[in-house]
Amino acid sequence: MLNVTTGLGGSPVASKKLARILRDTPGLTGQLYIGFPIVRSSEAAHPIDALLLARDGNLLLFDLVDGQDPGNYRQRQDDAYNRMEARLKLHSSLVDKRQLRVTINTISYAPGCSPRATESDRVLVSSPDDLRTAIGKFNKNSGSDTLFREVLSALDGVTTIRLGRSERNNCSANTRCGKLTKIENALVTLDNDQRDGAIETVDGVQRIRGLAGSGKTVVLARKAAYLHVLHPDWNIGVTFHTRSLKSQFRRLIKRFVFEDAQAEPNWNSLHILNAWGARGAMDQTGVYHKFCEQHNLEFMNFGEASRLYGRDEAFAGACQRALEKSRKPKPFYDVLLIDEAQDLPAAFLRLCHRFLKSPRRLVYCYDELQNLTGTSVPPPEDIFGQRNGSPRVQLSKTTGTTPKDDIILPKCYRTPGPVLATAHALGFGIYRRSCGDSGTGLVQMFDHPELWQDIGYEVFSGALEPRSQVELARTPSSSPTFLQKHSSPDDLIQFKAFATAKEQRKWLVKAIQDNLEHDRLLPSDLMVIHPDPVSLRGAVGSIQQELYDRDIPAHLAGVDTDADTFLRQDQQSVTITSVHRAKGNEAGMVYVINAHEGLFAKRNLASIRNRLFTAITRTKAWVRVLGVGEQMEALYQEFSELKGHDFRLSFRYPSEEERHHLRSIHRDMSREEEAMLERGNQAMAGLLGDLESGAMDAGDLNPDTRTKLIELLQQMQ
Amino acid sequence: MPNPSQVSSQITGTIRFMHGLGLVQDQRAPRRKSSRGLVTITFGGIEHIKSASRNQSYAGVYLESSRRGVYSIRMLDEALVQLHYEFKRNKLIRHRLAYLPHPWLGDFHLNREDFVQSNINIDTIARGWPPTPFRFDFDREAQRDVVHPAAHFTIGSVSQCRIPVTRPLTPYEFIDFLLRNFYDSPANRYSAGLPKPGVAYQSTITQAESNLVHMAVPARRA
Repeated sequence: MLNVTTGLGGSPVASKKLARILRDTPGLTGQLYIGFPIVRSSEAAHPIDALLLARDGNLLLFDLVDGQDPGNYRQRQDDAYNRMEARLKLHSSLVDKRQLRVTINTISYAPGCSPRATESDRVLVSSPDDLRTAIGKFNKNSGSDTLFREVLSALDGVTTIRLGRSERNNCSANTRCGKLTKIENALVTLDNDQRDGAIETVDGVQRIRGLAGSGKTVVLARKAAYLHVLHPDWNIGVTFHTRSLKSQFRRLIKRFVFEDAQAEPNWNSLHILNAWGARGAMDQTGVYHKFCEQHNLEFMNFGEASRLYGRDEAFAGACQRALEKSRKPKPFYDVLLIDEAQDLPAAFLRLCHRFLKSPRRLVYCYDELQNLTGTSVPPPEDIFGQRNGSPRVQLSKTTGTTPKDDIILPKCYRTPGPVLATAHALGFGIYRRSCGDSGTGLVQMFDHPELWQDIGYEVFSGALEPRSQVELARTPSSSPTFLQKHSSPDDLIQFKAFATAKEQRKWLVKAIQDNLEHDRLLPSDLMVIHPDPVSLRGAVGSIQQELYDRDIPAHLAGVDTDADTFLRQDQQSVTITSVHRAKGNEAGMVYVINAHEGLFAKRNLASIRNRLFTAITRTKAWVRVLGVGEQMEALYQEFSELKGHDFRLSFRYPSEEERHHLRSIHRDMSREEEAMLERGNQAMAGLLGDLESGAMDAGDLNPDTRTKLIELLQQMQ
Repeated sequence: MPNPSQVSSQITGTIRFMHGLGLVQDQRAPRRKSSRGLVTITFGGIEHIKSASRNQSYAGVYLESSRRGVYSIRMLDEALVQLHYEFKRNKLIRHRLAYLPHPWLGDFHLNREDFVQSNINIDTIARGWPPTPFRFDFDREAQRDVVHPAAHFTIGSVSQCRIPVTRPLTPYEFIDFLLRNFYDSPANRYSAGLPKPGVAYQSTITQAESNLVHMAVPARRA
């Protein structure tokens, strides 16, 4: 099949026709780009109108003409040819001595010209038939896939994104060091979905959903760079939740812009900024802070907002207030790209939408399961609200030649399949023992069953529908096998339950020492994640001590640690972090410690499980899940069951009412709500005690209260 | 008179102690360098200290030091601590004990809970007051009566600010000063359990200097 990726081109009529004709041409495979890639000449950087990359790696460049006058098309073709040749020649794998290993052909397509004007010229066509004939001659549908992929990687501009990593010293292939090096050196290309996400731009809202490790950040960075080079005058903002993403975005965007324009980004119009931001320092601004400045509103920091709205609703409250107070919008941005939308309140997305100039190009990316607060991202109709009775934003499942506004990235390029399945199993509580009255161990479930297929699972047995038993398995295409075949599942992932925290610590420190001395991994290949930020410091102090005693360099990920220091490449050191600061980062060997914490909690189970999910999916290769006591034994059991099912997820899909019930019992409670519940329970226990001891008689109760109480209790039965 | 080995092991001991309190983000183990009778106990990254200090703004100095790892300890509020000692024939000739708070993150005292609980939104809280970096310096060779006391205390970046100090500080004494004044609160007496070695340096203050406003470090039996 031909994959069509539509960027922002200059000849809308011709490009639409071209895409339709090519898509309908039987047997045509490969990749068609429209308005991409951007290639620089000595004067300026502008995109190739359209480009067809055939399976054998050869290219056909289209010069597209709207209207009747083809102008000096030969010169334009020469120009496109030269620019493309120069760009591809930069990639040594595509060059043999002085020759490019693939051929570049050019053609002009001018559907508005009369066929007669073009019939004498084989490089200018106007009728669909002539176009098909020309393509038929070019397209051989054969050749090596490697060459195709290498050209793709060069065109997408992603070949260089992994360069600059610290080099491991030549270690043999069967050590962990050798295996990790091999994984990291695998050729980077964008897959079709990623390419669509990166290049296709809609005049409105675009949603991109993807699993952990599906490349959301790379896709957003690629998109920001593409739009910036194409429209240097646009104000483009890139925002996110995890602070360490800032420098990651900066690094990626710089690379991509350089790839397209051979120049530095203009950081005055391309902003990489936190969602919230702070007063004062120029570097510390955020989207919300900028919005307040622009609209002359009072900015609230975390402390101020949490006093008004509570800790958990602080940012939502601050954003909502800014929205209400900014009656007259003063839009500033042309495009806003939002990463990790699952961790940002809907009010913030609305604020971003309000901050955009027409046609309000907003791109938001998220992974439902990496949400750490137990709330899910509502559908766009709910986020952006109504206007004159109809939703402001509605996404269409478009297919065909228009840019897609709803994209799912189903492939996971970071975490090996069995590890990802483990993360999902624990995150949803697939094999969790049911407790209490709920009848199911599940903690949460997608409302739309088909989402499972969208994120790369297939039905192994049963039916994927409410009230049915189903067994889901990851597909080889959604979890590439090269990520997992280097090690057996027993080595990829291990669970360990310890009797005491001390035993856990001893085991951890010994394992880290082994990784460094025996496996020859670098300290920066190792990450220790303690899921709960609140108890982090108390839990890891003794681990820091012990590592320090053994001269193993280790550090805690910091407040505004940029990724450069998060995994300090220059100063080799093991990273210890809470899951909140680990997000967006990855390592070869991940140790999740104290995984037992909160597992038996009565509330907030969804977010506690999501933390485990996020922690486990930080690994590129191996993960060790450690914990203490009875709770950890229970988690170990869940993992054993999953392993018994060969890493397939087998469960009964809950009905709508059951899902509603799950949401109400496992959702997050704010600290205020928790306190209220606690008060209620204590009062009730007190009353019960008084009644039982005879200190109080049922007759002492106010008759109204008594009647209502009896009614309520009967209902509960 | 603490010698290089004692200084080094005091640094190691205090870092280890602070790990236990959950006060340390990062540390660089003391590094010992010897050449021609000169022994330096310093931290990794010391080679970048000159280029980092050349910055025009304090934020620049801090960020460059932070990025290049020019510190002995990074505290949980991202403040950097630098511990550097030089000895000639086992005798202390120089030290530089510096505290560089984060230029714009909120004050530790006012936001203790958010720092301790690793609140990810702590960076929205900006410093109410300007940061106050300070140093305890000692330079036996540059000493000039009153004008340049051998041991002195410097606040901010005022180059002529050299408040006389009675004697050089051991790593323990410096960390005790730091914790007591900048991290302790009535409910959290971090400094209380700090290991207290018995060795200390002898007085270096001159008579004229001690007639001025100065800082006194209690004498301890050497």
